[in-house]
Amino acid sequence: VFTRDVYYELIRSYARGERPQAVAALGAWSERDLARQLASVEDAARALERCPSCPNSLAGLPLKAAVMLHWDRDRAEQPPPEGVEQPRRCPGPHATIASRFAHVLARSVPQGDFVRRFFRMVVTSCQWDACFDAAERWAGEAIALYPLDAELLLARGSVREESATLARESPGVGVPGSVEPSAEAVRREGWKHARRDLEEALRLDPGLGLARLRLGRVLWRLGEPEPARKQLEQALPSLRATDHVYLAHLFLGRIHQDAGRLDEAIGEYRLAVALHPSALSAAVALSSALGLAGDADAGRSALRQGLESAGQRRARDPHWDYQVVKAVELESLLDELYREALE
Amino acid sequence: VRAARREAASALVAALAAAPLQAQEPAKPLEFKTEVGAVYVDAFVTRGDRPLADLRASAFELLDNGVPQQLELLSTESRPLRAVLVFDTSSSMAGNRLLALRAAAEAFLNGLRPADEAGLVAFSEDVVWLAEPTADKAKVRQALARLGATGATAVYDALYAAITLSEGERRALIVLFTDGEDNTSWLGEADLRTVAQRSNALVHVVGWRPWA
Repeated sequence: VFTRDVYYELIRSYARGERPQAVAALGAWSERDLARQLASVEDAARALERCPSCPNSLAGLPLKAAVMLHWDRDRAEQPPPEGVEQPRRCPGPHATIASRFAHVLARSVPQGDFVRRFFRMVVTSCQWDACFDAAERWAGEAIALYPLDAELLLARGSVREESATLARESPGVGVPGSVEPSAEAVRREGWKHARRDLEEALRLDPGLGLARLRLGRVLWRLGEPEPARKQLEQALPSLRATDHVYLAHLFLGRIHQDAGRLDEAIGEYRLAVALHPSALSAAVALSSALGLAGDADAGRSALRQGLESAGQRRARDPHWDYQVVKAVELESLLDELYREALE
Repeated sequence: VRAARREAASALVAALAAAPLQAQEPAKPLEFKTEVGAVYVDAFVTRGDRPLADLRASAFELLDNGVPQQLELLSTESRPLRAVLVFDTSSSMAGNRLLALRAAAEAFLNGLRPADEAGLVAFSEDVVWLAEPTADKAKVRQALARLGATGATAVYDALYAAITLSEGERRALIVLFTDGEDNTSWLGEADLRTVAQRSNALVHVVGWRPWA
């Protein structure tokens, strides 16, 4: 029986910690039944907005649990495929329902920053799954709700930087009559959008070191090395995570290298290696710069040291995480949201 | 497999060219002289899509700024090879792709002669030197058999490692086995091109195509 009471009880059972059972039971509900329940929840939320002193029919309904229940169901319906490097598990219908519950939650109940973090988690998850269009859409939806949230702008800037960087030439480019832009044009446009997001995030929160780090990298990608260098040098004192300091040195090294200042580049790369001796990106960067400076033996030695850690690394290379966003961050965001939803 | 075999049948041509720098002005305090004794020039000669073997030096003409150069032909038969197989083990290689490219790598190893050396570098986002170049191809085969598929693709970093660490007395032949494009390397395509141009290594690619 797909009634309101059954639906609410399903959500409450999830909140009590019966997560797998609730997620499985939700699978039996049709889109039509769910749409009816959701419409009734949204009507109740609107009624409450119009008349805050009227009886609250949503009282006792754990809305955070409803958000996470539908998110879990969405993931359960899209198990990660094997043999695919970028699986593109884009959010499906249950994620959309989760989003509608999040909107209800944002309007009707004091909820701290649960909704902001939920949206940031979805954006990060989409980016991790290389589902860039959805990531941008969800980020846009969240920014419309919270236009002053620097973290959300940073999340969208990060999505835009990655999707632009991975843009590949479309088969139609160069074909007579085709109006498809070249990959280079797509990349530049994406980086420009990323730049705007990151600059806006820094305007709202000048101490957001990761936004400054990313802005520095994006400016370098856009062919503006000196502004990039300034941002990275300015970011360094505000960066607390070792991984971010590592990246700042790595990116500064690249700017020096491109300008022919190989000694400075090597110095920056050595600082990065000292922070993460087992990270391959710094070893390759240092080795390559030493080779360009004419010290091939030292270059080989630096590379060998980096490769010796291969297969035994305890931490992921920060440069890999920078490019595909940090999966660890996604997991910790999810953990926080579950904890709150199950309270 | 066809591509791998073609590489083994290719010829290496060395052009001997003496090119001393112009005399320096006596007033300058520091003088450096250098000369290029020999330059490798690679030629892959085919008729249709088949390689032409058994060519002699007289079949080639090499001009440097319009000046004919003295040629010495070094066929693959006259020098042992150092081949480094650079094998993609990213997630997208799981299943048939891994099997197909492993078969290609096996075929390549079977085409080597006893004195030739082979090594193996595997990569996903990480780069692992699984087998140092050795004439004992069984070691490379064992390492190949153990390859799995997980992670992203750092083609450029892996090729950089293979080119940089295989430089030695023997000229290296780097053979990349991959199904896709780079998405996590530190180095970019232009960086790798610079390294490859400065190196004497030969780089070839054996790709996976679903319709082949």
